[in-house]
Amino acid sequence: MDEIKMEREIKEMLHQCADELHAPDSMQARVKFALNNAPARKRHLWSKRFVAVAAVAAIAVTGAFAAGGMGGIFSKGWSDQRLDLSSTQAHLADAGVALTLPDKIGEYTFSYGSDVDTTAQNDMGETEKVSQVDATYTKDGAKLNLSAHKSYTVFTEDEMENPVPATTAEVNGVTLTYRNAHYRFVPDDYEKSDEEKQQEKSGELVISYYGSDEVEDKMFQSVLWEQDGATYLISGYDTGLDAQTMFDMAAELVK
Amino acid sequence: MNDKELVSRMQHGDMQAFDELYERYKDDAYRLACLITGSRTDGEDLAQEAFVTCAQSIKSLRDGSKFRPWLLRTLSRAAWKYCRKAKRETPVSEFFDAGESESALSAVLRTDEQRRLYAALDTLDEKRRVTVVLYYFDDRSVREIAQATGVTEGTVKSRLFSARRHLRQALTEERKPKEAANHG
Repeated sequence: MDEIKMEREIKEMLHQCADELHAPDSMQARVKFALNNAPARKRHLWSKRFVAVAAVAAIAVTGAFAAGGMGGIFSKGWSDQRLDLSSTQAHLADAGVALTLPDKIGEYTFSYGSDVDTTAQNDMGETEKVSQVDATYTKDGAKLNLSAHKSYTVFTEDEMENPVPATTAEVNGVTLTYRNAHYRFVPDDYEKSDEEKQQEKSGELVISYYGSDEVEDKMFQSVLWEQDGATYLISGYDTGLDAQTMFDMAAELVK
Repeated sequence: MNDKELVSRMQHGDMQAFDELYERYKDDAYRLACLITGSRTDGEDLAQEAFVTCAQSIKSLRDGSKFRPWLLRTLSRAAWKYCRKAKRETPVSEFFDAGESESALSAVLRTDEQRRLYAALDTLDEKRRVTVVLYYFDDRSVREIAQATGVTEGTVKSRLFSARRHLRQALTEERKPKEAANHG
């Protein structure tokens, strides 16, 4: 059988089979029942997004991260990319972000920049590719990451909701949101306890199945804001930075 | 009333509009789900899930005229995830097996060639079967399949190539004994 004939046969065969299939009457009743009894759908994308950002920065190799359910943000970075300040600035402009990168954030000094390609996918499977630029700042070996990208448009408010308690402040009409989240990195086969599940629901804990062979706890401090269609995040693990300190750092950039 | 108007009504809370959309596309969704999963039972579950997901997320659909492709894309994504788990309670053979049941799909196939093709399709692994169904039944482009299944376009092409080769081999092997008998 030649290629064209075989392709035609596959098509016809599938269509013949399908033509005999009709949705059973029970299906509509099941759909209605599910709609009438569905709990409110809440997705917590932001907390997972934070991990994605952090994971890329931490492992600095091609990495992928998918949130639970259908949606998520898939990120890819490069281990050997080390952009200097002016190159990072240029990449930011290419990413559509209007921000002048400082050479210092608080007491942290610019070390290098890197690109992160992200693909956002909402619950409905709609995707959106966004170029993100990360800038790493250091102080005595400790790292602080500034990431910036054009804001995602595919997610609903529910999907963007983050259960981790937040502290907010206003600077020049821009809302800054500080969080100090407890992350637990666990191996792939880790089973959550009931207590952990409860803690996740309340936002006390975020469990990540990405990039760890053993259970490891870290505190993740971050300040997030949106301005002129772009999203900015300053973040770091176990930095000990409190809300006011991070608000002051962000305020320097929100001018 | 067209899909765009019905979606708009749904977005304003009119669930009768949803009933209308359901009636229009229930068979399309059910057929695709059955072919992808290889099971009527699972097909019904998946089609139901797709309708529920779409109804709950209707406000995120910007272009109401695209309801059908949106529904089927949602379904194939859910089905893909389901297939990846590879833990189906109902084996593929329920669907593809010629079996004795009156409802066996191969019963409707007209030629031996198609029945052999059908049996060969059953022996494909899930990744390649899903790709074949989306490509040949739902007329998805390689790019669309790549988006729906979360792989690169190159991977989709590779799966299609590999599936065609597998089907061809299966057909050839089926035919060999007969040819040998004919020539013997």
